[in-house]
Amino acid sequence: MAVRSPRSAQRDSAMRGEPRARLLRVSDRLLESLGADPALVESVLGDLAEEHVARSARDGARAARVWYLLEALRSAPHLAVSGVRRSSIRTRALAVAATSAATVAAIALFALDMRVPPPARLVVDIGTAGGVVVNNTRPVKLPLRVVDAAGRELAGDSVRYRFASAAPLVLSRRGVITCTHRKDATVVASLGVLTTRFLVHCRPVRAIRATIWNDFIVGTPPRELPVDFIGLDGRSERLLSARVAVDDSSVAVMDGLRIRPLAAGRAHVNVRVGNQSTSAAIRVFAEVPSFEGVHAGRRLVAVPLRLIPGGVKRFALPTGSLSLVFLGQAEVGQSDTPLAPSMSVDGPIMCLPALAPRVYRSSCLARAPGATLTIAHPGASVRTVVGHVALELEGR
Amino acid sequence: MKSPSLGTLELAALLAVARLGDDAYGLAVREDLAQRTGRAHSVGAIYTTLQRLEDKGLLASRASAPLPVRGGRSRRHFSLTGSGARAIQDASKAATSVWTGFGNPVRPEPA
Repeated sequence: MAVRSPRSAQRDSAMRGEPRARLLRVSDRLLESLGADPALVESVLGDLAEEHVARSARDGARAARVWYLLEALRSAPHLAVSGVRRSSIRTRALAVAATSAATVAAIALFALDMRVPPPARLVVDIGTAGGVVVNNTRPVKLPLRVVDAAGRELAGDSVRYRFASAAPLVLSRRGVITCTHRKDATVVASLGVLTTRFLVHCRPVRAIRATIWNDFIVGTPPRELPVDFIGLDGRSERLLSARVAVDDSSVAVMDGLRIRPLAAGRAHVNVRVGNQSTSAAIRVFAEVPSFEGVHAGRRLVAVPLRLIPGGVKRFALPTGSLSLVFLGQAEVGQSDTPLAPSMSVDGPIMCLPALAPRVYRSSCLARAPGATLTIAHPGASVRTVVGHVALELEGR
Repeated sequence: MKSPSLGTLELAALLAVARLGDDAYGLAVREDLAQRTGRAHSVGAIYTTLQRLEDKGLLASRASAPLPVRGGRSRRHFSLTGSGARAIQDASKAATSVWTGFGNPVRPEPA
């Protein structure tokens, strides 16, 4: 009495290429055989497949498969009742028999899947560092997984760990390591006849120092986030297993440890290494030809600037609370340090700190129209000033 | 015309479809109900309920284009019919009526 949808054959060929377990396909057939409206069964199987994909990514393939089988089992009585309601008495009797058989088969399949297969491999996820990097200052479990022949993850409680040779570090038999100082050591993990050796780089980080304000211009190349990771010995640490993320991906995204600005706005970059974490604010400015027309809907703007010796530029400023900053850019063929201009303001405006030589960032209040910003070449150099004058309109 | 009688899950599903608007399909309804009631109904239970509501004329449905994430199957999107909206109003009035005069939940006296 199997009811097959017209799209079944097409779907089956589409599914063949996916690594879905045979058990799931069998459970699909069982649900299809319960006599419910094919459209209803299609919807149920579609939802199961969609959530299975999400759970596989989130919880792992095995957990997702267990969820799928349980959910198919829970759905079977509902589909069976729906099928019985739609059918004749004879068909109803057949449906009841089919439901009973399907339920028994599903339970058997589930029990089959629940059997614990023997471990086949010990897997350590080694990154580009050629070993496991531990930045934690507290005890941490080494990231080793036990998998069976089919690649399914098994419980790893019985794995035993030791150092290959004496090492001045603390490692428990269950794989909890305490990195008290910077050191490399080889660890041997074993489970029955399975053994693996891997390198552990102990690089404990006790602090993360990040620049509070980081300003970018839309469309400029990605720039490294100025973050310093301080080891227990006070030295800067470069070997890291870090997680870095921007909290608003419409403003900027991470490209490794570099930030790629995408659109004007503010965001935070959250950095986590070992048991340390920090957050740095970033501002992304949109390039505009002048500050005229800056309004509450477009608060973060930057005007490109290029000044040869003796050059001066004036910009009319909008009224309100402003943040002004010069973002220098090294000119091609010149030294890496950009040449900074001399900045000053005139009119009904007050800035703190007051703009003066070597002050390139200030918060200002323009009380009325008529305030201007003057930017001049510093004069002491023949180099060209290249960069942007950025303005953030605050409040309002 | 009197609205058809609704079970608890039927009313909850009808309200979820009303809340979700264009996004109302089985998985979304299931998640909405799980968040609000703390109870995870099976996918089959949700769809048979939605189908019953459609059979009663309270919901209408349409199929989306086939989606790879669903193994080449379509999503069945549900929307509230006029009768469905009336059924919600009637259920709300009935609930208000039965709760009228009942203040804070009765608390047992401390022992």
